Parts: sequence; C-alpha cells; structure tokens
Amino acid sequence: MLIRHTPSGLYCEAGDFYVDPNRKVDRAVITHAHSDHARRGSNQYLCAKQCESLLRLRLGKKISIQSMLYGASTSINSVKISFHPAGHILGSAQIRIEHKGEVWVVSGDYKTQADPTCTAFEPVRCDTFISECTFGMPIYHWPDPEHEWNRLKRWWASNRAAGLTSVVHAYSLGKAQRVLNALKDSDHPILVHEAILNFLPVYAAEGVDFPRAEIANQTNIERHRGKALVVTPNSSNMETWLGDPSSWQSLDVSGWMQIRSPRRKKGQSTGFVVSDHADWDGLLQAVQSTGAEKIYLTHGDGFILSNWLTNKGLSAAQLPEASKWSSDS
Amino acid sequence: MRHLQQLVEDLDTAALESQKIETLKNRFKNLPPEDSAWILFFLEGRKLKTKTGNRILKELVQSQTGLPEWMFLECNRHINDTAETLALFLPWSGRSCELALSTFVVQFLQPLAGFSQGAKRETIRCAWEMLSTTERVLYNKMLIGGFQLGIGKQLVHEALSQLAGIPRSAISRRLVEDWTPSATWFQNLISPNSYNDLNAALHPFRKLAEWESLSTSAEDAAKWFATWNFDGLRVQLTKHQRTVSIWTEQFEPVNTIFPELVHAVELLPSGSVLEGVIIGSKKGGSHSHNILASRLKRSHPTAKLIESHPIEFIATDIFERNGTYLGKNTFAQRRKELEQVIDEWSQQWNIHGNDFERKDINPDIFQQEMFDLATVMKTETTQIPPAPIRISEFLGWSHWASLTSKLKECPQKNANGLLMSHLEESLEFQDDKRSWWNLWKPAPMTAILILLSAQRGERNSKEFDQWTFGARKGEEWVTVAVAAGKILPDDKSALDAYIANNTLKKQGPLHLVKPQLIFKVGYEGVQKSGRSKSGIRLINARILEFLNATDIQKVATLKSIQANTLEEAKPD
Repeated sequence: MLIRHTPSGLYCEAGDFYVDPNRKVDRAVITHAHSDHARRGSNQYLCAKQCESLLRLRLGKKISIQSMLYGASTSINSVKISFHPAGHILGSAQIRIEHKGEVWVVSGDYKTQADPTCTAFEPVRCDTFISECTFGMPIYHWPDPEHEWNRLKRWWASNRAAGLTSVVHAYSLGKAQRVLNALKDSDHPILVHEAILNFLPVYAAEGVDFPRAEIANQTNIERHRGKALVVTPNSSNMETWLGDPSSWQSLDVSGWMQIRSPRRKKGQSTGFVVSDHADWDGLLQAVQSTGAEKIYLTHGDGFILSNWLTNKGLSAAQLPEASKWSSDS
Repeated sequence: MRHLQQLVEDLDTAALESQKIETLKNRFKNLPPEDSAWILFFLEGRKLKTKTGNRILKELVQSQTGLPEWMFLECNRHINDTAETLALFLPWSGRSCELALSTFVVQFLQPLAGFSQGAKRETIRCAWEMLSTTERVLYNKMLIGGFQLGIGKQLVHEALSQLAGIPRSAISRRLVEDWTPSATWFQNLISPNSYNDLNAALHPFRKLAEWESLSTSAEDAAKWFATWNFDGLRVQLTKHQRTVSIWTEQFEPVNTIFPELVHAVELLPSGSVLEGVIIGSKKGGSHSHNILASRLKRSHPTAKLIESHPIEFIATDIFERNGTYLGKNTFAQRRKELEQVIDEWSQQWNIHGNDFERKDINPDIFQQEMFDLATVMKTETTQIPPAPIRISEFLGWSHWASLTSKLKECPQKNANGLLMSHLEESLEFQDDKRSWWNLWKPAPMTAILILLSAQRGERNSKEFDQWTFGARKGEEWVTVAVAAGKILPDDKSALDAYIANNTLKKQGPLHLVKPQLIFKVGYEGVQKSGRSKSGIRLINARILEFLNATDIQKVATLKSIQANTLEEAKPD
C-alpha cells in the first residue's frame, strides 16, 4: 500500500511523509489550515500556495513551510506529489501522490458546490481515493447557497425591524468568510469576532470582497444594538456582551442545520444550511469522477456510503477515525 | 403552504415565548380565517384520516430515488423522525407552494382516504413535486401524524386569547371539542360574542396550603373534615349541556388524555362542576403514580394503554350542581350535595356503564362515508368503558389524636398526607385561608446519604442547585436521589470549595465529585426507577442538613432504604 493508516495519521512509506498528521512528525503534507488537519510541531510543512499564509496564522510565523501552486508537482524520495483544488476553504487541496505508476488521492475536506471564496473542486483521476465522508448519508442534499443567503438577509432585516441584534454562529476560518462575502453589498453594521477578522486580509489578497466590518466589542455591540449582525464562532463568549437574551437572536450556519434533531440537541432551533463539505450527491459525483476502484472513507459515519459503493462494484472501506474531533461548521 | 412553513420557521427562530406568541398572533390576524383554522388544526396535533401509512410513502420515496430500504432505515435511525427522513431523501427543492393551506388540504389530504393505492401515490407525488423540502416535512407529518414541532399548545392558545380578548381557558375548552376547520368556525373561536357560557365553565381551584396545626389545634376537631391526599393530577370536571371538559389547575384541558373519564363525566347531569384528583389505579384498591405518569405522556392513548394503565377520579368538592353555584354554601353542605351527585352517578353507571362494550368498528362504514369530512375525521377508537368516579373517603374521627394516627397510615394508603377542609367555610372569601384546602403532611422520612454530584443552574449560572445523592450497595455507591434547591449560605462556601477541589469529572454543568460528603436527606417515599443502577428513586428528596462530616460509615445502605419501600417500588 502506498499510503497506510497509522496512529500518527496517513503515512506514505515510500516518500516518508505524513498527510495531515495528528501529532508532530518530520515531514507533514497539509490539505488545509483547519485545526483538525494542520497541527503544530512538525519539522517541515508542505501545502498549497494559498494555504501558506493561513497556516502561518494558525501554527506560527516561524514554521518551515514549502508551498506549491495547484497542479505543480514535486518529488519527495522519488514519490511525486501535487496539490489540486478541493473547494473546501481558501487554499484547501486534494493531494495527488504517485509512485511507480500507482496514483492515490487524499481528498482532505472538500465540497463540489460553488463557493466564491475559494478555488472550485477539481476531480483528479486516480486508482485509490481517500475521501472525506462527513455528510455521507442520502438525507443531505444542500440547498442552493443563494437561497440560504437570501433567507439570512431576510432574517436580519426582520430582526432589524423588530429591534433585535442578529447573531450568526459560523466557524472562524472558511464559513465566516463565506458569510461575510455573501453580505458584501450590505450597508448595515456588521461586527465580527477577532478570530474571524484575522483571516480577512488573507482572503482579501486573493480577491475576495467583504463588507465593512468592525471587531465586535461591548461598546459597538451596544451602539448598534437592534441593527447589527454579529458573526462569531460558536465557542466564543459573546453572550456576556450581548446581554439580555430578549434583545438578540442567534442562528448557526452549518450543514447540520438540515436536520431538526441535531439542531434541537445543540439547543439551536434552526439555522442556515450552508456547508463546506460535500453532500451525498457531491460525494458520489466526486468518487465517480476520480475513476478510482478503491475508495477509503474518513470522517463521519462511512457505513452507508461504503456499503453503497460496494454494491456498485467498487472496493470501499472506512478508515478508523484518527481523531473524533471534527471542525465542521 | 408557504405561510405555514414560514410560520414554523419564524417560531423556530424566535428565542422567547413572547416573540412566539407575537408571531402566532400576527399570523392568525393576517391570514384568511379558513387557513388559520387549518393551521390551528395541525398545531393542535390533529390528523385527517388519510388512510396513508408510512409504507406507501417509503415505497414512493424509494421508487423516486432508487435508494434501498436499508439505507432508509439507517438514516431514520439517525434522524429518528420518519416524516423528516422521507422528505430529506428526496432531492432538495427550494420552490415553495403558493396554494392556500385550506386549498392544499382539500386537494392533497382530504381525498386520499377514498383513493386507490395508485391514485394516492400519484397525489402525493404531485404534492411533493410542488413543495419545498421543508414544506415536504410538514406535509409528511400531516400524512403520518406527529405534527409536533416544539410549539406548545399553551402558546398557541395564549396567542388566540390575546388576539380575541378572551380568557385562554375558554379558548382551550373550545379546542378540545369536536370541530371542523372552516372560516366560520375560526371567526367564532376568536369572537367574544360567541362565548355565552364564558363564565359557566370557570371556577378557580380551591387553594391548597400546608397545614398550620398550631393555629387551629385549639379548635374543636369535629369542625374539620379530613381525607387522604393522593399524589395525582388535580382537575375540575365540568359538564354543561353536552359539553364535557376536564381541566387542570393551569386550565389546560386534558380530555384527550383521559377519554374514559370523559365517558364517565357524560353520565353526570348538565351543570355539574366537580373538583378532585385523577390517580392511577392498581388492583386491590391502591394506586400508583407511575401509572398516571405513563398516561400523561400520551395525548391520545390507545385502547390498550387505557386498559393496562387504568385511572380513577376521586371527587373532593363540588362547585355547581344542576347549574346552580354552590360556592356560598358551607363545605358541609357541599359535601352532602357531592355525596348525592356521586350516588346518582353510580346509579347511572350501573345502568349505562356496562353498555360500553368493546366493539370494533366495521371498516365498511368508513368506506361508504369517505367524503363526509366529519366522519372521516373521527378517530377510529373502540368504545372504552367509563372510568370510576369515587368520592373522597371521609376519615371519621373525633380527636386530634385519632387524626395523628391516621397520618401514620398515609404510607400504607399511598397518600402523601391528609387533606383538611373546615366544615363551616364557604368559598366566598377566596383569600381567607380557612376556606382553602389544608394539607397535613407526615414528617418526612430521612436518610444519611453521600453526595455524588452537583450541577450548576441554567445558562452560565455559577451556583449549584441540583444535587445527586447515593447510598451504599456493597462496595459501590448507587444514585438514589436527586434533590434540587440551594444550600444555606454558611454551608455554601464550604461546599463550593469542596467541589472545586474534588471534582472527578465534568459533564457540562454536572460535576461528579469524590464521594466523601454526607447529608441528611428528607423524602416522602420510594419509587421504582429504571433509570438508576439502584433501581429506586426517593420521592420529593430534599436536603435537610449538610452534616459537614466525612464519616462515610454512617451512609445508609440501599437495603435499609428499600426496607422503607412502598408496595409501588417492589418489583412486580
């Protein structure tokens, strides 16, 4: 096997490197800058060009990074490596690994849906495809994002009419920027959590447009009370600044919002269904377009998808989860 | 359909009850009344008879998507809501249906019951075609039932009440009756003029206070009436003309939960209002709180559940007889009236009670009258024999001493105390405590237990307000009680410090602590509980004293607590 599953993550023995290792290693090839894929401590990092600045923001300025344009290739110990757009977040990549005529692709996280904040997913032909499977159930069919953004704008408008502050929970890297980009023509006050704002210049440098936004603090939340939209990660403690729960409303932007029961479990009654992962149709489409005969699934419950692919005559299996923790939003 | 979907979404987004009520009010005000009527019909959890089961929907979805059955089951296991799984299996649809709900019902729901399988399939397929994904969820719920969207009926009734300027209880009462949604019906519902019986149905419940024996002990004991107080659901039974209502203290109608009691009240004369308590009854005359609890979980019980979990009504007071208000009479006089009413009821029951034999309805009746809406909507239940209505037992006694001995019998009687009423008081002065019910409780049982965990209060609260206690079972500790309540300020700082230093594990607001601290815990009885390892739960557990000691040898054993176990808690 060209790539093996080890306790430290996916390992390519021939090239002696790891893909998205979950502990420190000598050489790490990184699909994207989310913290469940890019971890601190490795000696050398290799990633896509647009991922580099994000990786430095996340892991520290001084780390040793080598980055490459999408499609360009390099060799490590005679194993050929190239990065191809995954459409997940800015700089996210699938990694194509070729050795002695055998081609593997590690998808990282990806989506097939259009997203103006990153380069669109490109299928790569391969023999073996290691695919994510976060939403690997046929109940996940993403709505048109435009439809959901319009819902978000209407919700914000009706909150303003009712004098309520609107709070949107979105993952700080990727999803939040997507939300802000969708609101780029807005004239109303937008406040964002510091963690989100840090990434905006990197996106702006790649030509992604944003509306005017301030770092949220107690003062401007108070000043724009009843009018502002506050974008913040789920884990932030914004509630203390927002004060009286009758003066604001919050919603999530996430693929999980498609189903009522997980929403209820999270205490979140509803939200907007926009995901940075592939839905059921996206996964099938991606798997098919690689032409791969062997499929390994990571992330999420791959039971349904692996069975479905096996029934279609492919060889499919689930990889054990390296870490239960998933960054999806 | 779009309006209903929008309403559900608005209700989902609204964080506060007041916002939800406002949303509902606006919808009911601005939508055509026939649509409001149908929205209300579904929010009330009612279902049209469509003769369309899960099976046909599943087959339809499978034939449209080409996905196999196992996949459906697997996904439904994940979502746990068939209507939603079915809707999500289909490709996403953002188009929304502009048909008015009342029109949609006529075209896509009402005719289904009379259709052949093929026609049903085609109708449902067409409906799905024109609906958005979220509208499909709602439509599927209309078809297979379970239209529960986390929107409490109380909120809906409150919104209507505010819109109409009519008390909520009057609205609630109207809604438990049989009704067919229509514009006229809805306009009537929110028109104050249509409520000429507005006052007739509503009497405040007699207030209930803990017995203050000191202030009355000098009085002649014979001036007081006493009966057992059972742990049940306090209700008022009302019958006016042919309308029967069963009300809780919150003026929630519970007719649908206790259909057998509705049958029983039908045998009372018009103009009757009785107060009392519903209890779960067990063979041998004792009663069970577990039985009642199981019944309260189901708003529309099956005949089987009614049979396996029987209930009865214990009448304690009467407010109206033959339409005459009795509140000006003394309790002694009312008690006489009550005895007569119950006697008459028993005679009626002897005549009619046995007529209610189980008869399965011939399904052909439904076939023939398929398109008569009123018939279609009646739920297909088998007749249920009426529940027993009994009068509360008068505990004859002449001295306080004999009453005290009755108090000791409470556990055997499954009573949690004695319910006392002054014989010479009327209901005219509601603020006078002597007109209230007085509850005389036996001293609580106590046990020394060990603290296993503490839980913080709601939303970022720093204070612990829920405590889990354990008893000894061999070498380990097993949970036997959960007590709510704050701790005395003096003890609080000691406890907080202990919890801070001895937390073994945190699960959200729950802190599992090192089992070392012991408490004196009071309780009123022992109940069987499948949830905890110990198999029991102490009823009404409360902290009596923080012993601030770590002598864990003193902690009660599970066996010693079980020795106090009431019959209820013993395994069957």
